[in-house]
Amino acid sequence: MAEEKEIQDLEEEKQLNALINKANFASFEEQIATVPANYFDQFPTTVLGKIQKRKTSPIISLGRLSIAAAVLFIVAGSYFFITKDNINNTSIAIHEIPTAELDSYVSNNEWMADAEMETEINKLGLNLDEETLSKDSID
Amino acid sequence: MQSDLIAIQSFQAGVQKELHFTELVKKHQQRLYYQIKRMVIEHPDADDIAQIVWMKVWEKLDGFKMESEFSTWLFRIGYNETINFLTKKKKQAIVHPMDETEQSSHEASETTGPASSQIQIKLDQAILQLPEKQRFVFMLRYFEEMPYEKIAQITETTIGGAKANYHQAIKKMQDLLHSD
Repeated sequence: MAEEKEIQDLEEEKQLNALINKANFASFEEQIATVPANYFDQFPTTVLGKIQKRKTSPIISLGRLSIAAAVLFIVAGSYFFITKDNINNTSIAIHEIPTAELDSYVSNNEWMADAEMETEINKLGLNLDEETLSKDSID
Repeated sequence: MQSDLIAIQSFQAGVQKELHFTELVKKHQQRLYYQIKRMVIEHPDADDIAQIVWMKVWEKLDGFKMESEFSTWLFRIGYNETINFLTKKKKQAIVHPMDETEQSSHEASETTGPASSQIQIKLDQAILQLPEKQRFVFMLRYFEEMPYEKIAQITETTIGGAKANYHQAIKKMQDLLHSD
């Protein structure tokens, strides 16, 4: 059965080929066969030259570059959002600390209290240099 | 076939890679080039595609398992690259429709010499009007006289599919010849 089908196909193909004569493709094949002089002699050297060139200078394709850029963008974006959340969390945490606890912390760290006081004095523009302070003390 | 095997095995073993690669190129370059040129017509295009194909062969030959003939594998790469090229060219032609008109008239005039008969001119034009896959199958069968089994492997289709493609191509060409 398969053999009969094969024979039928071959017969059909012969009939089809007879309708399109190979001699009629002469000009087409002539055009195809026309190549520059020594083209096939030089071709292997040309290809090997390009392979060597590619080996020495690896080309980063645009596709790979865009993937790398996308990954970098995602990483940078994630880092930004994570950091932002942490900052907010910290500020909330300070607000949540009771005042009494903060006072005791400040009193235990005297240098901090001094620094705060100095800042407040500077803000108010008070002139509390040594001389004034000593006068006050005399008075 | 046997010499291909030895060259491939030596290449894969890393022994004088360039030498064995050159051996393969010298043996198969002409058939591959002509098949590509029958599809793209212009020499610079055929040359570009052929170079890309052989560069891919160099890259992938280490992984070639010799499950099929080397020439089948080579023509499959050639088929894929040629179809990719023609698809890109079509897209460019959509963007620049004037270029396409210029190109087709150029192709038609290039493929026919002054001594060409009317039927030859018609056949040349009919070939160019076939869909790419049918044209590729037609060229392999008609000019290279390749068995359908091999054509099927190259074009990643069934043997029946390859036969159908060839017969459709011939019938279409007949229709085109008789249309005027």
